[in-house]
Amino acid sequence: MIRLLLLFFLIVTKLGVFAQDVSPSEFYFPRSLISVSASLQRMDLFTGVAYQKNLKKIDIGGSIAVGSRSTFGAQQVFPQLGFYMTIPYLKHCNRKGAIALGPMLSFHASFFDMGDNISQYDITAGYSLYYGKNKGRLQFIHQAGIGPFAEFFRSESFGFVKSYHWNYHFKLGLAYAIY
Amino acid sequence: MRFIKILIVFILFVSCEKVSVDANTKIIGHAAMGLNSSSSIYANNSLEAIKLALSFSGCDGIELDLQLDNTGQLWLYHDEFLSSYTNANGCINDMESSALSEVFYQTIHHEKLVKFDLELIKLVAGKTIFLDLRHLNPCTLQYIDFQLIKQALENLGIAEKDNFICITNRLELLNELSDDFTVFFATDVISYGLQILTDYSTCAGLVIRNVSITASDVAAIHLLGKEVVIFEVRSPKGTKAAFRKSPDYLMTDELRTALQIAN
Repeated sequence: MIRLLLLFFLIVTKLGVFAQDVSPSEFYFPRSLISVSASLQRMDLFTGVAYQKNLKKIDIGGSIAVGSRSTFGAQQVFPQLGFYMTIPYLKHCNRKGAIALGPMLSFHASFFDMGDNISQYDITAGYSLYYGKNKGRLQFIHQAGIGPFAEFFRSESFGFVKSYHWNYHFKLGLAYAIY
Repeated sequence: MRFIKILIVFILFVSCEKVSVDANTKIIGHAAMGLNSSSSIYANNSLEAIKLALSFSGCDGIELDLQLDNTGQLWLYHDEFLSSYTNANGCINDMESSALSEVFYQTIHHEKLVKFDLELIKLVAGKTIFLDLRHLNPCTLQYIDFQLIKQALENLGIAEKDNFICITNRLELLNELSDDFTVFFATDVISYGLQILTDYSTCAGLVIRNVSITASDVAAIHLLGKEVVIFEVRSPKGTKAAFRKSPDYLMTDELRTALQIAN
């Protein structure tokens, strides 16, 4: 874990140095993206699609995914709706490609039925990274975060049940620039 | 567009394969919400995990690991050494109740070590509770006088003993425990297990790993009029395979997955 954090900060530092030389006109970042991704979380591996739009300094996105283990393994559809905001704070581009990295805040709501109708919510803070050819349509995306998680359901024997924990997510995917 | 169509067809295809679950198979949470499960939220054998497991309407019961302290009280703890998961060192068998009541799991929730007392018995009333009686002191590698464990259980004055099933892997305890409780024998070898079930009328069933038993073995045990608990079940694939064998109890480490498949 410490190694991962060190690696992350090394990348951030490196990008920060390069970022000073970047002229905004050189850097092209798509205004609108659709993506497919897999996100490893506490409760399942969620695979799904997302739409992201650039609003000047921030990007906002919405996603819909299903928990693979539950949906494909246990045959109980486990949908998750997500909303996220990122600030592509550090940008760098050269002839080979363009990279954008920044903080990210996301919210997820998941629902599933296993005799009881269970709903789960989490808010995670982390980072978001995009990499692809400058002015290219295809982008590699990666997001990771950690934050509080809550689960609620109504139990026959225990009434309203609520439990809290921490959730994490580690997302990898591919995005396609619409324009 | 073609990719999306293929994806939808694939999702529909894999989603349609529904396993038929024997309605007689009871779902039991191993150490409450399962061992080493990221979806369990709470530490195994903790009060929070017990409450959460029993809150799920499809959960028929739980398995608890009991260890005796040196003042004659029973505590819920799965591992051998307290230092593995808690803020304490040593073994439960060598510690006093007063010291153990201060022990908590080194997790985010800091769940306290749970004493097996009447309050807990009241909480789990109406559910099937498997009691895995640990009778080896891991610190001294000596067996604990079983009469002390038996006395500790008797002192609790459990009213609904039918709901409690004791698990042991020691043959001499099969007769000892069967006076008061239903007793299951735990083994990894099916042929040995079948032999025990045949030889010991006091043994009501077998506790065995999923990989060590087949559907025909389960049927053979049922012909003897005995029951089967299948454990070490975690993945969706393994859980479905275990369900297909139609055991009497499925003791799972991923309670949510088992309940999803059964639902």
